[in-house]
Amino acid sequence: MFDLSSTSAKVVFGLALAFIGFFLFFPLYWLVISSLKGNAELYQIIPTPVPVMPTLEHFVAAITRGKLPMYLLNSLITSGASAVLVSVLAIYAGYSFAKYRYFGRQPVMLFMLSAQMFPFGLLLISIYPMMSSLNLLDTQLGLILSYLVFALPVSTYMLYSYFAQVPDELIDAARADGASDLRIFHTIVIPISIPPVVTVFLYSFMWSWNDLLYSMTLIVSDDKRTIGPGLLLTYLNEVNSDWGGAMAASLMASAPIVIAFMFLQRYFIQGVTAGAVK
Amino acid sequence: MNRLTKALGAVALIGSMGAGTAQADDLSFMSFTYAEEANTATVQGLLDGFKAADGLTVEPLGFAWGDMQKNIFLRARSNTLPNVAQLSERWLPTFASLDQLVDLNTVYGQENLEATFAADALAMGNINGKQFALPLISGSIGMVANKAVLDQAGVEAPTTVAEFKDALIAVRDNVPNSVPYTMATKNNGSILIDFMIWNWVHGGSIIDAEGKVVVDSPESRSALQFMVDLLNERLAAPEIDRPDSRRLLAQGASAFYFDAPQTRTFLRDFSGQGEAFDVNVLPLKTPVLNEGDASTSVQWGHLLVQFAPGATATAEDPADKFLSYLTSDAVQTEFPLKMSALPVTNSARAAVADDAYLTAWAEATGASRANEVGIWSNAADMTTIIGEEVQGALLGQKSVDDAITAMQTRLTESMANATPAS
Amino acid sequence: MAATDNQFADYPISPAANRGGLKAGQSRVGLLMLLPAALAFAAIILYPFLQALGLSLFQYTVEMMSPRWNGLGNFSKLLSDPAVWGSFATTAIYVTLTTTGTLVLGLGWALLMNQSFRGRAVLRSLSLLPWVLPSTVSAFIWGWIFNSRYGVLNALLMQMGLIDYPQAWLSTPQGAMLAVVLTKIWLSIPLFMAFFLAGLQNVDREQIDAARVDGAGNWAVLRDHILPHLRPVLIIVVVLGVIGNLQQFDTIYALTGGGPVRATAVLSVEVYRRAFEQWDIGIASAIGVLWVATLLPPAFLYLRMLIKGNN
Repeated sequence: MFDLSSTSAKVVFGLALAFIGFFLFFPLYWLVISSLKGNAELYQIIPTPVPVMPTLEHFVAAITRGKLPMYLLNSLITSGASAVLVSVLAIYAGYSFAKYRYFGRQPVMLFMLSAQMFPFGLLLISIYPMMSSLNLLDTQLGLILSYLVFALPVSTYMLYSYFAQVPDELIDAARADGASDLRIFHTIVIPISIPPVVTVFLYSFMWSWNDLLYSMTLIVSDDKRTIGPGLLLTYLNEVNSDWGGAMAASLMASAPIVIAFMFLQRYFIQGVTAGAVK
Repeated sequence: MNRLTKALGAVALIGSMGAGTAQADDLSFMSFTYAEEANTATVQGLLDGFKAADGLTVEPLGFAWGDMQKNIFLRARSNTLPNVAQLSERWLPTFASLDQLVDLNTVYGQENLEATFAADALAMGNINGKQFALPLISGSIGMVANKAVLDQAGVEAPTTVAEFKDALIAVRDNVPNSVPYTMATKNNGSILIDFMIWNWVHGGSIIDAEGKVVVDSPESRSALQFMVDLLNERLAAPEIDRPDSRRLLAQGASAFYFDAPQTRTFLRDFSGQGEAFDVNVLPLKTPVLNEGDASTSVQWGHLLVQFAPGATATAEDPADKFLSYLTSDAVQTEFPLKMSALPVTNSARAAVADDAYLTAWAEATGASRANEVGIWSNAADMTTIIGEEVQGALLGQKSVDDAITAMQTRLTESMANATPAS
Repeated sequence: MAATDNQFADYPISPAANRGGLKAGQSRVGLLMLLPAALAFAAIILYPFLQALGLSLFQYTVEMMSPRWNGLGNFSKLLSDPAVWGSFATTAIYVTLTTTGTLVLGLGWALLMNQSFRGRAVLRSLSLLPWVLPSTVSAFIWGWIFNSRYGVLNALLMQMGLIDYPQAWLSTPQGAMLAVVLTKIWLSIPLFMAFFLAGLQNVDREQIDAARVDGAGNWAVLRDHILPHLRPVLIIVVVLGVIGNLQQFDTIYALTGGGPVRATAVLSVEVYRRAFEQWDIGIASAIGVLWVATLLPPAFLYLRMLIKGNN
């Protein structure tokens, strides 16, 4: 889009690439490098840029400690289930807002979207006793339901703005053939909406995946802990500040989702492009 | 709607899988020592021993020390309290209002307990005549030094504050990249201890026995000024909490800090040398202002509390059998030693009187004083206030005078809602 | 699934496509579709909010087993509490810095990634990584970089001769703020980049080529052609950015816990600390309500504008 034939343009391009690129990638590099250093090499005032004596001791320690896979699985279950739930709810609600006209449609949508500004911590104060009275405290189901807070409104809005672009003619034509609205939605609209749905799924997944606040509060048993609080409580706490272990565990905790994301990112970019966000 | 119901069904199914963990054990025990990697096996040994002795099984619930208070509150409000929990002595007043907390005098009888336990240890679990907790291990928070680092810097163990400072300067100048005294400067709970001790050393006090806040005094000002100076002269460092202190001392990068005797267990672990590191762990008298002053230290211990519906229990309940077991001679003559701490019963203390480290520790720290903040129900709130104001002065955000004045005002306000605890 | 831009090309797009919606009388089906989300919303978001609104009028502290009516007592206490005002200011600074920072760097990176050069595809995929790491991991990484004794930042500055002794960044108000802001910008760039990349697909290349023939330079192209086209994306990205940054809790809590003293105690952290560390539920609710009261009116107006513009 830019003309980079001139030297000055090349220099500006190169500098910008180096600057932002360094900011984006150096921390990742440092994560990998630090996880491979033994404690003697790790705790130096002037660190070595590459491990002089690379070691896997921190990885071995993290594996033998043995709770990492459990935390990870818990996170995948709760984040995955809640992202599915958000996507399903948002698909129908977004379509309803985009394609049907009824009284109060816009104010309701507007209110829902503004509610995304309600402080999560404030909602938690009331969600906590609510889950308690439903016997859902310290359960994965309780956490999954609570995670709706993070992304349901924005996801609904994203899909609304996508569905709004789907031409009415497409639907009217099918309707003329005698298909019911739900059938049209399921067989015609949804199949052409996969990328935006994936986008919304990932968006809400990431919110739950990153969560520390709800999981730290609603889950009190160690065997149901998710990865965020799990890592925090294991590696940096009152009796410990084990940076090497933290780095190694971080890498391993990130691996599955990074791999999964590498497969899904094509859809993600497509979904964004298709107007899930507009 | 079809997909929706299916999805919801799937979600419910997943959720219920997590929900129904059956409680097959006779009782649950929530413990932070169990969560400490170096000590898990030792605590597991206790549970196994209890099973062998009484035929009852215990479900261990390990929680990080820093997470315990919050977790107990969350569980109290959701009716999922464990049967028995391990507490730090300073947390007890905060939990005294929980209606499931059992007064153990009603279970074992006051006279019985007083005959069995050492008075100082038992007192930590007593609030207004109610025995809400039994001690598990006890001791004091006092000064620890790394002997090897002192040698390297060519200094002797200091007795007065002035000598202490000279020693710090020697360490700073002779041990490269060291933090001579790893004063707590990050975590409010740890800052409280360091400030309280230096405040005592300078003759000040935070709250008197009646609950009147008395921190606004020349003594407290000079104590805080002393701490600020240490930081400014790079004799202490910012961003230090207890784990950092232990790690630095274990690596020979620090000479002094305040901790409980249990610190030796962590130092063995962090130094990577195990018991070989013990020779370097030197318990010291807290330096005094003037030669001849009495040295100070803070009472410290781990407590055991029992939660039961209606707060009623009998000695035959599994939880109470467990408490009896943990305070029996069989456990008390071994477990505290492994934790590098004092036992809590008279008979066990007599049996371990020849342990060199504990004797040295007790000798160095002498008679310890109760944590003057930790005995109030609003201890958590006050810890935050003190931590914030001390930190504000240490980091140069406000003057020592402003910090002390603000501390006085804020603590007084906080005490307005407090219930007297012990 | 290729070329999603053109997926509706087979259908004639009527002028009513984005405005009319489907015929009236179908609205019952529409309401039915809305129902599940509306119920979930009411149960998980609206009801807790109203309840918290109520709790803000009660005194409910750690010593009490049940709440006691306090009228507007919590609010009058808050209004005279400088710590709370400090939190509002901290939040404003944090949200402004993170949102602006992410906008600039996210847009910059998207423009770079939109040029064709060797290795672009790999670089693009890799640049999504910060976003998919758990936020605790991000906090670990940045905490380690900023570490006062062993951090690489200190080492770099010392090697360059800019400082003599390692600095305790996280112990100074400015340093701690810098750390939490950089962490948040770092992990938000990928998402913003994706949005901007999407927006860049819609920029009219022929128009740009024509402008170039007329002698427009890179800067003029950016200013007159690219940025105006990105306006709609910019608007939604600002909404998402502000929401995300306002609600940010995880990285701040894991990195500084709101400290030193209260330097990074943004409202989300403040509400949490009051509610779940000091157990003052009434005050925590009141702070949250104050937050909503400040924020909701402008948010509502802005969003209404946005939706109107979209229709």
